[in-house]
Amino acid sequence: MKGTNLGEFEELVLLVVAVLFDEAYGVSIQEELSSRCDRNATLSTIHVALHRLEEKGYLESRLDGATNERGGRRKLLFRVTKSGKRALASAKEMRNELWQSIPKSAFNLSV
Amino acid sequence: MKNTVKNKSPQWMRTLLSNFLESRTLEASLGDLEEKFQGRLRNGLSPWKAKLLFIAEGLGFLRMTRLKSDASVQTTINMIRHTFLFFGRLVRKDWSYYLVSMLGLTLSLTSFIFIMMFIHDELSYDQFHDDKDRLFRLTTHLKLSDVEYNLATSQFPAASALKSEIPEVDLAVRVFPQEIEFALNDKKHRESIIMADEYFFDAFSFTWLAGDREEALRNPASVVLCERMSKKYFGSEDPVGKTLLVYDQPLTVTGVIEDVPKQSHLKFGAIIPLQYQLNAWKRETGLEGRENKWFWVGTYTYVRLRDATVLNDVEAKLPFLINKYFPDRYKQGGAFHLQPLSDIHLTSALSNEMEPPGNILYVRLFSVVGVVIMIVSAINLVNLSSFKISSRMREVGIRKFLGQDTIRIIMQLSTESMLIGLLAFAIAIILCNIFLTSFNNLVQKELNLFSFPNLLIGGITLVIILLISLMAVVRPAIRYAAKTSRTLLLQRSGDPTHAGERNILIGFQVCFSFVLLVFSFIVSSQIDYFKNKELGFDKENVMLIELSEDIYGHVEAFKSELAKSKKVIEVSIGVAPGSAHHGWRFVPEGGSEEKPFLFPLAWVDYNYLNTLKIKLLKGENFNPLDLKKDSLWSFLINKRAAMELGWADDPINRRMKVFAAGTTEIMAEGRIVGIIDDYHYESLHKPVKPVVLTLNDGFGTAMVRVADGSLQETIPFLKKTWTKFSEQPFTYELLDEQLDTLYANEVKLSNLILFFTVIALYLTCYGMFALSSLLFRSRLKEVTIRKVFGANQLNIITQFYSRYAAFTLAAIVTGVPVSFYVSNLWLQTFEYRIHIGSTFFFLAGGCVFIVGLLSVSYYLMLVAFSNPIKFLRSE
Repeated sequence: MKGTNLGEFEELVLLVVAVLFDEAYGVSIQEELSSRCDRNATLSTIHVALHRLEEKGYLESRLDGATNERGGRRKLLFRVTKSGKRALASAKEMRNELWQSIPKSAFNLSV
Repeated sequence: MKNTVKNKSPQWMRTLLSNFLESRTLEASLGDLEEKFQGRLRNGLSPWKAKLLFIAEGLGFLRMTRLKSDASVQTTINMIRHTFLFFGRLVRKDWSYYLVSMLGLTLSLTSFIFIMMFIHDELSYDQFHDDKDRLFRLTTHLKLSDVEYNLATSQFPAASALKSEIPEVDLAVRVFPQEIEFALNDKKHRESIIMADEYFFDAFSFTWLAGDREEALRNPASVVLCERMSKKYFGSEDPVGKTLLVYDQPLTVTGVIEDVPKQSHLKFGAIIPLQYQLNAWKRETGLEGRENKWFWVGTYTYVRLRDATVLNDVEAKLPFLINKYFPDRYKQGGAFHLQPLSDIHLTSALSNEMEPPGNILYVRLFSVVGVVIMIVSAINLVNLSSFKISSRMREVGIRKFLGQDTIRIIMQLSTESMLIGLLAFAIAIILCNIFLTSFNNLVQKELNLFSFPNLLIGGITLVIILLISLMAVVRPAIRYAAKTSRTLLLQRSGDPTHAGERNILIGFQVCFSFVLLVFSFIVSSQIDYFKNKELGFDKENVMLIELSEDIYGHVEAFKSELAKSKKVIEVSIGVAPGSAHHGWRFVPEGGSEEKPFLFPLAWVDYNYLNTLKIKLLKGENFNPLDLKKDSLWSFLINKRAAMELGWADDPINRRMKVFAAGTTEIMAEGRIVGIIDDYHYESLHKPVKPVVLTLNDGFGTAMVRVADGSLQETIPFLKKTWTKFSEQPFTYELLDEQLDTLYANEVKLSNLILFFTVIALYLTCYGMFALSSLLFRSRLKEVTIRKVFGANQLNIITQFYSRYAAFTLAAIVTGVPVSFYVSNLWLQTFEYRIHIGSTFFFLAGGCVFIVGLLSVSYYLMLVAFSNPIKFLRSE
């Protein structure tokens, strides 16, 4: 029903989830995004993106790891699925292809 | 312990989220929020900031809300969609009916909003002063030689007398309006300003923008500017402390106030302390000024009472002032009154008003017209929708058969009706916006749709229209929805039981438009009468040129220069008819100085009678040589003045003395040289008053009579001559146009009435047209059957027409006394008025009758000339 292409922000979140591997949940993703990518996103923005990615089948989630710090709430931990991996790979491939097709003179001229 | 409470995240936020999020998201989001909250606290962020961030981030999660899928919600959504779909189909199927009814509704809403805005504006005059309930204006009522004078003004010393004699009077402020030329560098403009006592701003609440309110008028050489004046002279600079020149004397700007609201009877661009003017008078005359005498009724006096309840006590004390201070000849019949500030604009009928007041009669008239237009369109809507619904009986039957419940059906029908109302309202607002400028021109106001009170008017109109559209369907909807589907499906359509009621409603509309039409005929013929009445002088082909000071020394040269053109027939300099003639006190020979006559006096030159073609009855015209012997003045008096003096038979060569204005001294003595015919030098609202003309070498206005039809060609010549004598720009008016402006109020009324008459007529026509379409449709079969049996077309047509003609005629006859009463009420306010002849009624009646029959004719013809086979087959 929904489109399966990746938005720019979604792609970032998906990559961060992959980077964090088994420790990917709201707060850690937010910190990672701000330290590595210089992107300040609110928690709800991230959760919306995660939810959408899960609907598209690129992420799977489980509830685990309640701590005192979290007021006894469990974390919603995410992991990239196989189709998520494929989507990332194809996005990367498409970019590479595009990069390679740029004529050399294009950037020289524009500078 | 306190610490833990402080460091807890807000509980209500958590509860809020738990109401909206599904459990999995809720668990994760609350955990994440809490974790960040604790992290922030650890990093040393103050608890309230952390809480604020918690709330802000928490609110963000609300977008993840999942609507619980509820069957009832889904049904409602479907139903609304269905209503719109069905409404769209109905409109497409019968678009002409919906277009016509929408147009009627829109027009009536538009005019209703306009009327309400107009009325609100009229009623809100002078309401913005904080002390408006305690503020009054002192009015003076005098009776001199049997003529009553009701004046808005009072004497200069009255203010201090009130203050010292009557303890309940809190403040007494004099206001003296004037036109003054302000100058700053090369900027020079004439401005209308007021001069006022120091305490002006204590009494009246104008909004201050800069300067000290308390001190602003203390120094006589100061001026307080309105915002627009300040912009005009100083641009964006702060004007406070700077100086403006008034007749070469510097005035310091001590304050700036917001522009005076439109709804104020006091209108001015600046305020100068009255003391400034008093000082100037003292300097010029060297005497104790005339402003200290009780003769001159020349200033406006406003009074603030300690509170509004003591009004009667104060009124009771006013006669005491009359006895103590008034000069003897004013005492008999003299009176003071206190007029509430809010009465000034609408209900005052006094002379010397600062601006032409509104008229409460018009406000009442328009309220009635507005309400009736609304009622008429409500009637149309009720009439038509009840009929429309009865033709949808089958549809309702099928709906019930398929299981829709009664409430839903009623809701569906009322939603449809309210949609029409809403749409009409939206179009009306757009129309209001488009026509606002024209309407403002029509009523000479600056109304704005999107200001506070008018938005409220819009809101109220919206509620009214929604109520009306609801009312229109609820009764028939309930009647049909309550029946069983079987009755509905089997019953034949058409519901003639309410035909009588419907006819009465339509008759009411016909009657209303008839009354309006008669009234608008009468108003416009009264205006024609004003413009064409014989005035006692010839107003055509006369140009008025206001002389400037640099011409006064060369008046004769100027006149002879003008006379060089062949097109110029006569030139005279003096006071033009239609402009103010001030009253002076005359003592006839043998009369007592204690009882002088108050006659308006005009200084004119020897050519005045010839130029204006005023008839000389007895004696002779002014002799230019009389000017040289300045000991004795020459007077020409009109018939009316001669009668009042008691000299109707033989006034020639009798003497009269004139008092100097505002004093007890005799200024001059004069001899009556002739009697002239009465002429209307004032508007025709008033009867002809006595007038005295006296010879002068001429100042005021030049009146130039030119040859017939050569007004336009003489303008360049006049202008050229003017520039030889004066550096001021050349301006001119035409005497007849100038006189027409005296009736601007009536013209305004006439325009408005005409506008509403057209709307009312349209509404009536559309009501009759639409109703006839529905009625004839229901009688199509009857007619066709009759035709089959051999009825001829003429027969059918006369039968239908006679029915309509009967009730239209009945409505018109009912309207005759009503329209007579209303028109008579209006005409009674004029001294010279037209006679209400039967022509008006026949004309208006004929119009309404023909228009009404025409609007039913379309469907009538359609039925009468139809081919019977076509309609019989359709069943």
